[in-house]
Amino acid sequence: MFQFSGKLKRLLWPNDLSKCSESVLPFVISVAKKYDAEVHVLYVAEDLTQHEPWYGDFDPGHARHIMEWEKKKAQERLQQLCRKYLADCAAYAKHVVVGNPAREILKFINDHDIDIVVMCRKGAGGDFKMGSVAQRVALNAPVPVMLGPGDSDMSWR
Amino acid sequence: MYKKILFGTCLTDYCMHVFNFTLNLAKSSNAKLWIYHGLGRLRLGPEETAAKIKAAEEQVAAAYVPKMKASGFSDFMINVSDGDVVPEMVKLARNARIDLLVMGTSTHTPVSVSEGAPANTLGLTATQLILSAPCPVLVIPPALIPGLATR
Repeated sequence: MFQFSGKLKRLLWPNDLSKCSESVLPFVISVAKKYDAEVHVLYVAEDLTQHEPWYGDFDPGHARHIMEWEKKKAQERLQQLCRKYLADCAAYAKHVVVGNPAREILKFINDHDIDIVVMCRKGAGGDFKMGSVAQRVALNAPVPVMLGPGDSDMSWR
Repeated sequence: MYKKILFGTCLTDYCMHVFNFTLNLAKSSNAKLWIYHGLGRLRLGPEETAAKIKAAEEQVAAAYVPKMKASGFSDFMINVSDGDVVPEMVKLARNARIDLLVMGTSTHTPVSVSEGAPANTLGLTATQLILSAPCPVLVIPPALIPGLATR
């Protein structure tokens, strides 16, 4: 039977650098501190070369160039985030990968023996209240997924 | 950390797995545990409603209290109400200043899971609670609940 062992060694914080992703930071820090867990911050850059050329063919070299730029900027931003907010945590690591966000997050959970995922219920893309990546991860993950309320007013807490 | 945990149950076997996780989490966090069971809109008179609620409270107590007592956990509250489940749970979470809500994705029928599955296959209650809860929601995915995930 599935049980909570009382230990969480590795926490995954999927972060698309949106305001909503950053809003779950208090939960990331509280869980990491309580369980002395490593925090893995993951940014998934969408693979632009896999998009259908609906608007005509595009130069794959150009798409790769944009992706390299995105990866570089994501690394810089994650570095800033980690230094600013996660310095007190037991350990942290930042990762930038390219691919389908939900699939890469699920793959990362399996590859890195993640014990819990903390993420926002919606991401940067679209104007939906419930993000499709959060739904896919919550449905398919092999570990508990904590979904933060995002823009909800929690000032009363 | 999380000092007040709310667990919503529909009293199915699947819920018991989620409850086991929640109980251990509450114990390890020294948290108070609220167990909520919603009856939905009953459309009955006050006396019949009160009787239904009392019967449901007994059912919830019979399902979970022996387990909590056996593990030495006593800091809990059982809350049963009629009315729409999601607004009632949100109201409880706000009034009791709940820190964390724990639930399964869907605990009535097995759900189909795969990476390519449509995104909108989380249970309706789970989705609505994630959207309206004033606190983080810890979702226990179907893969961790024996018999709930089908591929």
